[in-house]
Amino acid sequence: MNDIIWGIATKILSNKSFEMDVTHQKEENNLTYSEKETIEFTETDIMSIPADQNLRTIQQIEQGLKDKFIKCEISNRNDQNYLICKVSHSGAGGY
Amino acid sequence: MPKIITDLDLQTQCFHELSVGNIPAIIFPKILGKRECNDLATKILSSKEISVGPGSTEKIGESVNSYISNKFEYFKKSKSSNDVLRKIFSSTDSQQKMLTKISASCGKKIKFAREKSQPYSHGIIRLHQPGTMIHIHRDNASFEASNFSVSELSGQLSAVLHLQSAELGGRLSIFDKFWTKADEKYRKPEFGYSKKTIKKASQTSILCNQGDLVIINPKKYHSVNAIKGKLTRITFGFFFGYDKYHNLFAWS
Repeated sequence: MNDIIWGIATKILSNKSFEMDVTHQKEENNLTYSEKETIEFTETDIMSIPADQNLRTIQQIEQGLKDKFIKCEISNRNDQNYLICKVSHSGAGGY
Repeated sequence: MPKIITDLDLQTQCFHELSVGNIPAIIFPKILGKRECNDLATKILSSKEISVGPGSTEKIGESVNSYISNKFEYFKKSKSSNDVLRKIFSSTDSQQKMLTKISASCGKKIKFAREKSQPYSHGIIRLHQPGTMIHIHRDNASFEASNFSVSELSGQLSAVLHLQSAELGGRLSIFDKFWTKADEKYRKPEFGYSKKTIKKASQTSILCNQGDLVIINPKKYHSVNAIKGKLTRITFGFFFGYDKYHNLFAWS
């Protein structure tokens, strides 16, 4: 099973990457992660972000991700030290 | 202290006070009688339409927050759950009584929201079993449900009708602390927030009686303490807010 981390997307870097403050790490994770990580996402369930990277704008990423609490399912770390992840909204902050 | 409103004392000022956080709640006592509530509770507990929702809740009806990434599914399910709610409330018309109370107090007609002709869920029945509690949370469609048109409504308030109270416990606590974006770091992955968000905040604890309609400002943190005894705590609720023309719309 993939490692999972949760946190807040703090800064959008491109139409496929952002900086994140990591607030939670799954207890069963194989590795530990820094308090700040850079995420490159391959997939997302966030409706306002088109699946096709070529159709995405920074503005869409900002609206869909910035300051939001999200879940990242990690597949690996690339040469730039970015975590390659599937990104989704996490549990509800309310009803 | 919560403001208790009787029919002779309807004031739009109270809703303003609630919106700005000066009072923790508005209570309309006994808008539904004991017998009506008991009949509804029996009907609800025997319903085959109960499903599981976030925050240890069993529910009938849908809430936007459970479908943030699946709008199509939300509207599809809301259409059928609205029919289920209509059947459950057919004898008491509780939804209409709630809308009428709110309309009379706000001086504005209130309708259930729609998006491109699709109806939003007309409220949600929540069942909390003995031994469960509702963790600290806040409700804020403007921030969390930005893909839904109700996120554009302002002044979101929450209306909850108490159909069956817990034998013991189940008290509603409202903390004198509005949610801010910076609090997102205290989110819990499964539901709600860490207690760190309400550190030092004063709280008002309300024992909600059967038949009471309780209006709160859901952007303030709130929780319900452990439900004890044999009875399931049963509520029916929805949110409401204003559009840019100051019309009131409700949804869940």
